[in-house]
Formats: sequence, structure tokens, C-alpha cells
Amino acid sequence: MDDRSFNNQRIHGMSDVVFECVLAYIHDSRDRQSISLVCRRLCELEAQTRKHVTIALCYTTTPKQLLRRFPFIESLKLKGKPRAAMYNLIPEDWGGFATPWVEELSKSFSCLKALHFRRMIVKDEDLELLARDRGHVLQVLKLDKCSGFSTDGLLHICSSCRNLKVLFLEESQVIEKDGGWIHELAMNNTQLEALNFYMTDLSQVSFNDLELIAKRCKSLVSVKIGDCEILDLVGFFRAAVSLEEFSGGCFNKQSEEYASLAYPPRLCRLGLNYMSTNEMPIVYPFASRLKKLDLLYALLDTEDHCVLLQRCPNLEVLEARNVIGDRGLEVLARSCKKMKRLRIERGADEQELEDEEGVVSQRGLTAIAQGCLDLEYIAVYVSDITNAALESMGMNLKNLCDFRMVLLDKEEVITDLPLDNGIRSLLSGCNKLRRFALYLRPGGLTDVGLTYIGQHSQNIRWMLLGYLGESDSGLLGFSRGCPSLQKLEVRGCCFSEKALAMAVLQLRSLRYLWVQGYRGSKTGFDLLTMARPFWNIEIIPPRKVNCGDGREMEHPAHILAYYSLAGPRTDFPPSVIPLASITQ
Amino acid sequence: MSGIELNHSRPTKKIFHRPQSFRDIQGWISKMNPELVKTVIESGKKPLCPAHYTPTVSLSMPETTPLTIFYNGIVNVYQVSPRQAETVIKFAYGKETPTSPSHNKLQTLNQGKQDVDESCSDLPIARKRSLQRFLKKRKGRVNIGAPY
Repeated sequence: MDDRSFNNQRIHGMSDVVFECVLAYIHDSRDRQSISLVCRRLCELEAQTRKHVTIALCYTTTPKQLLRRFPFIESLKLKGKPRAAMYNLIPEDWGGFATPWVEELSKSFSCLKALHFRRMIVKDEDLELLARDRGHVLQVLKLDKCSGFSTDGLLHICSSCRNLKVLFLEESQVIEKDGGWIHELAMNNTQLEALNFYMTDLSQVSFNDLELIAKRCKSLVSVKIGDCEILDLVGFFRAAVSLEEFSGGCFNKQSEEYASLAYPPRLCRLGLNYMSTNEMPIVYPFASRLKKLDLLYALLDTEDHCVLLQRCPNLEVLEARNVIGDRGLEVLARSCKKMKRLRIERGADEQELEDEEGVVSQRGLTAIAQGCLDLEYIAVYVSDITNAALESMGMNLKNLCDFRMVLLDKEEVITDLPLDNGIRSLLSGCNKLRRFALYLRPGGLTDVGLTYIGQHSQNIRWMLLGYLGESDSGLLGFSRGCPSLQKLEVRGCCFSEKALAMAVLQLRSLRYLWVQGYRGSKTGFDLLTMARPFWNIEIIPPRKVNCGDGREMEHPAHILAYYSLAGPRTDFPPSVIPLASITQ
Repeated sequence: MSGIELNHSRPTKKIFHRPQSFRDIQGWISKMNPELVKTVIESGKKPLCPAHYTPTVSLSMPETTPLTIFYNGIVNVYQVSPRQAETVIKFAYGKETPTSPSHNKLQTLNQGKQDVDESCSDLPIARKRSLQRFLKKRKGRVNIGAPY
């Protein structure tokens, strides 16, 4: 039926040209994947017209394989370390080295304009190579939660990449030698649209250079910086006329001095670090314009949150610590009807450092469920919870795609556990859910509840299960469902190696598994039940980690398993042990 | 790399005969003592050293012949004496216990897992690095009298 001849330039009676034109309009990678399976010619055409590729784990394939499959990509996103690295759970030397990729990208990928490394180890030499060979065409460089490089590497980039539109370094661990890189950027670049070194420790950045960048780059839309005194940025704010997004800075002076600060007219996404009650009024003149607010690193109490949020009717994205409290969430639900994304992080544990009222519970969640009906993403650390609150979310939040909830361990008694019924209602009500994380405690969810998760998660692609279920039968019940589950993270659950391995074999879409905390077998070989072709299995053995304050903490073993076309890794550090993989 | 060892990341057409199905291999291997198998892997690229097994095996053995071991897609070939081969086969039947250092490594791993058994529910909720950094900095500000 399909034409397998290489020479024939027609597919189903239509010339290649028709398909080439049509393919240009198809961007979704899953659609393109389906197209590439129709026949060889369409596979070739699709490969030649593919513009962007995301490789969810850099060890699943090789640079040469990528080149063979998609030689003309313009944009690549590569991820390295497991997500748990963001929580300090993965050894720093685990892997995710950018070097082999940079070498091939610089040599062979002639169309590459945008590069995004996430949680990878990038060296100065890599940046130097990239700058030398791709400097003239690189438009986007994102070193996202990366480590291993210094400001010397950045200097190469900023000197050579004169067409750079986006330089993103957020949360990367950069070794700072000087502020020369940003001076180079200011001198050489007029195209910059987004500059981000938020949550890095880069402090030798001159505000004069920032001002120069604002003056010369007319399209500068987003700037997120480290700790730089806000009053020093007066000139910068005056020059950055197109600015829509700003985060960072800090408030070190007396509050009165900030009163007269003028902000760019289009500013609508804001995050002011170390902003306290006294400085809050500077936001009032444009609060009604705000679409995004980052209060994660502000110094506000519950009342402050209530006062501020009342003035932000157009807010769509809010990030805050749980000091916002139930009361703050009630104000949010009343005042901010356009909310799309809500993230409530965990504040300090010590009582003196956070507001007493700063706890989030079923009260706040119920208010949100009933008030913010457009919500697509919610991530929240709660101190208490009920099934009813989850049911309310399931009933009202029909657009929810991403749900993450962690039950904090401070309170001994939780109002309403287990959450079996609430979770079932949430999952069956929110049928657009793609990502789901639930982190409870022993007794939080029974084996029945865990099986419910399996039964009601048709479209969920990623899950984090923390302290769920009671026994192996819960996991096995779970794994009979979850038809779309591609990536599974499990922490603190007492499942046996055998059950984990059997669950992996049952989860038909699974391509990645991460586990920390499990019941080991005597020989350690029960895991091999899941041994199969192309499936890499790695162990990070238990280790003692320095907590930084003289204490040592015992970190239990991890299992990491994933499909790979590249065979086992060839760059294991001492902290990671491979169980041999099978190739065909 | 010495010997006729295969790197399993390259096509294994030369020695690894495809007609044998994956199931066949798995069945064959499942009959072997996993301790032995693990020891073979742990001994890495080096040929079998008698000291890893029984202390009684003499080093001055006459002829050696190849002993081929298939495990999980890796093929290792060793030049061993009949006596050594007998020792290995005895392991496979569970009659001897290895005393190699790699076994100790495995035991450490399992020991850790046994600890995990008890401490399964002792994993504290991990804090995000970015928040941890902020809370530490804020403590510093409070301590030097900066406005809260």
C-alpha cells in the first residue's frame, strides 16, 4: 500500500512538494512521530523538516544518532541529571556532560541556532568551542541549572555571539572570576531580548553594564538578575523601555528611598527579592497590570500577601511561599479570577522566621478550587488536607494539567486520611491532567488508593509518588493502569525490588524510572526481573552526605532505569553502579 | 582491553549468534548462581584470577583453555585451567561461595538496602535547592540586623 521505493518522488499519488509544504505547519513532536511511521519517504521528509528536538535524558541516544536522524534541527533541548538533583539528592559528579554533544553540534549541525542544556555539566572549553564554531549563528543559549563552568566560558560566548537574543543562566552554579562577560555583552550586542542570571551567585555584575545593555538593546523584554541593589538600577529601568519582565535585585537601603522609583511602562511580570512590608507600596501603581508575580524570595507576611493580591485582578501566575496562608489564598480566589498557574513553596520550618498564619490547608485549597476556575497548574505544600478539598478541585478545575501536592510532616495528626476517595475524585474530574505528584506519609493513601491512581490517570505522562500505598500489591494495582505513563519517580515508598521490577514490565508506556527508598532483596538481583533489551539499569548506592553544618546524613540507594539506544553509559563516576544492559 | 572480550555497545554479530533468542539466554542464565555471575562482571576485564575464588587452587596449572560466559548480553572469554573451570562450575551449582572483594561490594550494597528497609519511612522531605539558598541568605540578613 505504501510506496517504499526511494526513487519514486510521489507518495500516495501526491508529489513530495505537497508533503513538504504541509509538514512545515506541523509542530507537535507526537504528530511528527506518527507521520514518520507512515512510510520511508515521509520519515525522510519529516526528518529533514524537523526544527526542534527535546532529548529528555542525554544518555538515551548519542550525538551521532541525532545527526543521522535529524540533521537540520535549529533548536535542541538536552536534559542530564535526574530531576531529584534540584533537591540536592543526586551526587554532583553523576554525569550529564555536555562535551560530546557540543563537539558534534559545533561540527555537524549547520542549522543550529538555539541550545538549551538543563541540569548538565558544561565546561568552559565547551562554551569556547561553541562560541568559536557557532558564535555567528547562535541566537539562544540556555544553561539551565547547569554547573562546571565559570565566567571565563561566558566571556567567550558574549564576545563571539553577537546575534544572541537569549542568554539564560538561571540557577546555574557558575564560578565567578569577574564581571567581564557582561561588559562584553553590553559592548557587542544589540539584539538581546532576554537576559537571565537569576538565582546564580554572580555578584560582580556592574549596574552600568546593565544600563548599557538596556540602552543598546531596544528589544530587551525580560531581565532577571542576581542580588543587585535596586536603587542602583534607576538608570537601567529608565532605559529599558520595552521591559515586560524583571526579577531579582534586593532592598538594602531605607524604605523611603524606594518610593520615587519609576518602572518601565510595560512591566507586567515581576519578582522583587527581599522586598518587605515597607517597600511593598512601590508595586501599587502598576499592580493592576501584573500578570505574573514571584514572591518566593520576598519578606512578606500573610497580611502583606492579602493586601497586595487584592490589587492584582489580572494576575495569571503566582509563586509564593506558604506564608501566604489560607487567608492569602482566599483573597487570591476572590480577586484573581484569571489565575492559570499557582505554586506555593515550603517556607522555613522554624516558627520565628515565618508568620504564624503561614500555613496552607484544605481551607485555602477549597477557596482556590471554587474561585480560580481557569487554573492549569497547581503545586502546593500543605500542612493539612481533606478528601473534600480534593473532591472540590476535581469538580471545579476542569483545565488542570499539572497537579502537585506535598503534605508537610510538621503536624502529627491530619484531619482526614487516607485520601483515597479525594484522589480518585480529583483524577476522574480533572481529565486533562498530564503531570501528577503526590507526596504524603504512611497512612496517607492505601493500596486501594494507589490502585485508583492507576485506574484514573489516562493521560498522565509524569508522576511522582511519595510515601504512598501500604504494600507491593498497591504498586502492582497501580501499574495495571497508567496507560500513558512515560516517566515515574518514587520516593520513600516501601516497595520491594521485585514489585518495582514487575511494575516496570506492566507499565506499557514507561521509558524512565527513578526510585529512592525501597526494600532491597538479599542478593540484590530481584531488580533484574526487569532486565530487557535497550533498558539501562543504574544504582546510586547508599552514601553519607555532608549537610554543610558538620552533620552527616545517610542517603539511601537510588535506582535509575531508562530506555536507551546508546547502550550503557561510558562515563560512570564512582558514585554510580551500572547493572549491565542488554542490546540486540 | 585484552582478550576476546566484547564491548556490548557495538554490534555483537561476530561472536554473539543471533539465532539464540533473548528468552533462551535468560533461561540459561537463570540457572546460574547470580553470585557467580555478579563476580564475573565485577572482575571486569581481567581474566579469572584464582585468588578470587578458592585459596586452594594452585597457580601453577598446566594447559588453559577458553571458558566462555554469556551474561546479560556481555560475553566474556577466559583462559582457565580445568581445575579453575571446575571451581566456576561448582559455583554455578551453588556448592561454593565466592570470597572475592567484589562480593563484599555487593554485600555493602545489600547492607545499605537493609538499612533502607528500616529507614524507608525516614526520608525527610527534601527541600528545593533554590529555596534552601534563599532561607540561608535570609537568616544571614536577619542576623546582621537588616530590616525584616
